[in-house]
Amino acid sequence: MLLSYVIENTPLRYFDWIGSASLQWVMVVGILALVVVAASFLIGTILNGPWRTERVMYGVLRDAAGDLFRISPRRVGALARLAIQESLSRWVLVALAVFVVAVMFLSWFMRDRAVTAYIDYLMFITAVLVIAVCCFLSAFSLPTDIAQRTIYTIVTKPVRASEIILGRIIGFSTVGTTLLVVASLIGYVFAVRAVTHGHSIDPTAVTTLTDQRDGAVIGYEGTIRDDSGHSHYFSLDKEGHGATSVERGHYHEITLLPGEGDAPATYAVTGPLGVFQARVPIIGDLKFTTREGGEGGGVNVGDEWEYRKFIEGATQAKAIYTFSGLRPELFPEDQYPLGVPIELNLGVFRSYKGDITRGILGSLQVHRPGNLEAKAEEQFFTAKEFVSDRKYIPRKWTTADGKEMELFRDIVRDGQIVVELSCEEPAQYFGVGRNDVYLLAGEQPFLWNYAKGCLGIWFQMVLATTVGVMWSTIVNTAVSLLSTIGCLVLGFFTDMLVNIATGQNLGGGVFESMIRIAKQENLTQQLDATVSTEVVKSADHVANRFLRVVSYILPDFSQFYNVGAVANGYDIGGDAMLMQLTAAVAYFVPIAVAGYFFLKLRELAK
Amino acid sequence: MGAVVTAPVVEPAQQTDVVIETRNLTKVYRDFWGRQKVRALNALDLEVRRGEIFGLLGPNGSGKSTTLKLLLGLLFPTSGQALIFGKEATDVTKNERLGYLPEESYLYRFLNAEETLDFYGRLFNMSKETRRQRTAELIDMVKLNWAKKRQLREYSKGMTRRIGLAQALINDPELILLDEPTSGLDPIGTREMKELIIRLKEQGKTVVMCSHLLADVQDVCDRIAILHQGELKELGRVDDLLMQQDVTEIQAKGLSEAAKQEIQDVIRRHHAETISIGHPSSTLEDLFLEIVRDSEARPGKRIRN
Repeated sequence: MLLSYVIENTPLRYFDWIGSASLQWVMVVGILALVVVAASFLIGTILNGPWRTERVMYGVLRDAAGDLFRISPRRVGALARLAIQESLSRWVLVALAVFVVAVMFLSWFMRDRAVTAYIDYLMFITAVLVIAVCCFLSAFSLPTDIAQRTIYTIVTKPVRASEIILGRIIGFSTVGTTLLVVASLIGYVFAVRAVTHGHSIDPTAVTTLTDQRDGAVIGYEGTIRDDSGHSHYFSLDKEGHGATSVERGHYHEITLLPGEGDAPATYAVTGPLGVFQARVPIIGDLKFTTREGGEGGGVNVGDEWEYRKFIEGATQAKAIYTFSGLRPELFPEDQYPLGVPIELNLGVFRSYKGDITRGILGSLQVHRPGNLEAKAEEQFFTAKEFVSDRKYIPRKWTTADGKEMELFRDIVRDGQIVVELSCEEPAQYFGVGRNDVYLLAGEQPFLWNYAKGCLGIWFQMVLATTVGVMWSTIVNTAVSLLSTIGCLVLGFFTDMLVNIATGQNLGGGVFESMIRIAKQENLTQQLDATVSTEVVKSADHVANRFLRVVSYILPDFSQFYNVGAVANGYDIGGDAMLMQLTAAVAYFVPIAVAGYFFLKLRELAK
Repeated sequence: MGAVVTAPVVEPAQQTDVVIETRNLTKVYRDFWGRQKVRALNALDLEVRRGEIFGLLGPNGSGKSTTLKLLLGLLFPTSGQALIFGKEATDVTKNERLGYLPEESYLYRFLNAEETLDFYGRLFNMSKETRRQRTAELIDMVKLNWAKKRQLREYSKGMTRRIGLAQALINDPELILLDEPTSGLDPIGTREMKELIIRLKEQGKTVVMCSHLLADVQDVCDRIAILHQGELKELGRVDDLLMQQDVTEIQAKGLSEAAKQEIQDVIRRHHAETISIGHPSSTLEDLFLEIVRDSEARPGKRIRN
C-alpha cells in the first residue's frame, strides 16, 4: 500500500499524440527559425551593414546543407573527447563527491519520511547535479575558447560549425551521462539500504482478541517497534494472518506460527512491502451523475484545485468509470488470487466532523456497460485518505438466487466494464479525478522503472546541454550561463508561463504583479481604475504576447520529469517513454541547428 | 629544429600559381550601434604565389593580423574578397591544405604534446596510424621528445611555440600562415625556425608570415608587403625593394692600399679584377622606417614604384 499520488495528466497513447504534437512542432520550429533569422540579420546588420549581412547569410544558408550532412564522426569524436578532457580539467568530479556527501547525510533529515520521499529526493538531487554540471560546462566552454583564442586552432582546421556544436553536446552529455549513471546507482543502493529492515514480535506483547459472548479467539493485535523508534500497529485474523499498518510508505505481512508441542507460538514478519513498485494502471473514462441521478454532476467544494470533483453521500451522485481493454491475461490469477485489483485514491470532504477516527463509508458497484442487471456484488468500504487503497473485483461469485457468475464471462463485454463509486454517508463527499481510480494490470520491475525515470533526467540533461551550447555560441560566459539557467527555470514552469501569457494567472501579468508587490496588494483585489493601471495592463498585454511566443519556443523540461511516478510506484509506460524520446529529439534538432547558425554567423576573432 | 619527413611534393612549384588573392579587401570595426570604430584594413589587393615566402610587415595596428584573420575566415570582410586556393576564406574545405601558427600558441593547456597533435590530427580526419607517425615525426622535429608527456601548462613560452608550430604542420599543408613565428624563441630557436621556413619553401610549400622582426623577414622572405594604418604601402621582391637605384656599388678584390685612394683610376690603371658593379642595398629596417615616417607625414594609399 503506497501513499496516495495524483497522476494529474492522463497518459496518452503515442499514436494519438504524435499527430497534434508534430503539428505543434512544425509551428514551434517555424517560429524559432523566424526568430533566429531575424536575430541574426539584426546582429549582422549592426556589425556589418545590411547588404553584407544579407550576402553572408545567403552564403551560410548555402553551406548549411553540406555542413549538416557531411559531418565527420572522427572530428566530432575528437571534439567530444576534448570536451570530456576539458570537463575533467575543470574538476567536474568534485560534483560527484558533493553528491555522495549529500546522500550520506540525507538519512539525518529523512528519518521519519516515507520511502517514496527517499526516492523522490535522491532522484531530485541526481537531476539537479547532472543538469547543473552540464549547464555550467556547456555555457562556459565555447566563450572560454573564444576568449582564450584556442578556438583559432580549431576553426582553422577543416572543422565545420556543426561538428563543433555536436562535439560539445556529445562530450558534455557523456560527462553528464557518466555522472547520472554513477549518482543514480549510488542513490538506488542507498534507497534500498535505507528501506530494507525487519521486525520481530515478542509473543508476550501480542494481545489476543476474543469474542465477549463465548470467549472464542477472533484475532490478535499489537505493535512492533525497532530500536530507531519506527513502529507499526498490526492485527491478525483468527488464523494468524494479517498485516501491519502503513508507516513511512510500507507495511509488513505477519503470519502466526504455532509452536511445536508446548513451545510458544512465533510470528513470521516479512520485509517491507508496498515499496519499490512499478504498478501498471489501466485508466478509465470518468463521468459523474448528479444527486438526482441525472447526467453531469461532480461538484466543487471550494477547492482551488479543480482536478477533483466531488459526489455527495447518500444521494444518487456517482462517479462512473468505464474501463476498456480488459483481458484475463492482464490479471493473472496466480498474481492476483483475490480478483482484479482496483485502487482508490480518494479525497474526502466532510461537511460535518462526525467520528473523525473513522473513515467515510463508500461503495463500489461493478456492472456490464449498458446493463445494470449484469453486475457483481456491491462492495462497501471505509475510505482511506492519503493512501492508495487496493480493492479486488472478484473473478467468481454466487448470486442470491444461487447462480454462478464469472467476471470475464458475464460482466466484461468487448473488454469493457463499468465501476460506479458512491459515497454512502449523508452530507459527506468523495472527491475523485479521472486517474484516481484505476485497475492494476500487474507490475513491472522497479529497477527498470527507476532506469526509465533516470532516462527522463537524461533527456533533460541533454537538452540543458544543447541549450547551453546554443547560448554559448552567441554570448559570453556569464550571459550564456544566465540564459541557460533562465531557459531551464522557465522550461520547468511552462504551465505557469502559459497561465501568465493567457491571462489566467491571478494577479495579472508581469507588470501588474510588480505594481501589486510595490503596493502590497493581494492577488484578488482589483487595481484602482486609473490611467497608470491602464498603462500597466496594456504593457502586460504586449508582454503576454511575447511570453506566449516564448512558451512555445522553450523546451518543456517538466514533461521529462518522471520522478513522481517512479517514487510513487507507477510504471512509466512505453508510450510515455516514446513520447519523451520524440519530444527530446524534436527539441534537440532545432536548438542545435540554431546554435550552428549562430556560430556560423559570428566572427570568432576580434 | 630537426628535419621532418614530409610527403613528396606532387606538384612542382610554379611561381605563377596564385594561392592567396585579396580583392579590395576591407575591414571596418564597428561598435554596438554600428558606428565605425576603426578601419583596420582598406582595399587591400594582394596575390601570393605558390612556392614563395611572403612577408606581411607593419607596425602594431597596421592591419597585418587582421589580414591573416580575414584570410583564415576568423573575421568577415566588410567589403572585398579574400580567396585561398580560389575558395572563399569562409569555406572550411580550404583548411585541409592550410596550416596556421597563431601569434600566441593558443592550445589546450590540459593536454600534453602527444595528445595535442593527436587531437589536431583527428580534426584532419587522419587515421590512427598516420596520426601516430606524424605526431612522432613532428615532436622529433621540434625537439620536444623529452617533454611529450607533460601537460602544456608546464611548458615555457618557447616550448609552447614549438608545439604550436608542430600543430600547424600536422597535415603537411601546402600553405602555412605564420603569425610572428619567431616570437618567444631564443636565438638558436629563431635560427632553426628560419631554416625550417626555408626548408618548407624548398619542399614547394607557400609560406606567409607576419612579423615585427625585420631581420627575420629580410633573411627568409621572397616578397613582402608593408602595411601601415590599414593601407598597403609597399609590395614587391625584397631584393628589388632594398635596391638603391641612384647609387652604384663596385666591389673589388686584391686592391693595394694606394689603389683604394683613387678607386676608379686604380681599377682602370692597375687592371684589378672587378667582381661586381651594381646598386647597393639598404637594410629592410631603413626602408620600413622610411615608409612609416613618410606615411605618417602624408597619410593615404601609396605604393612606391
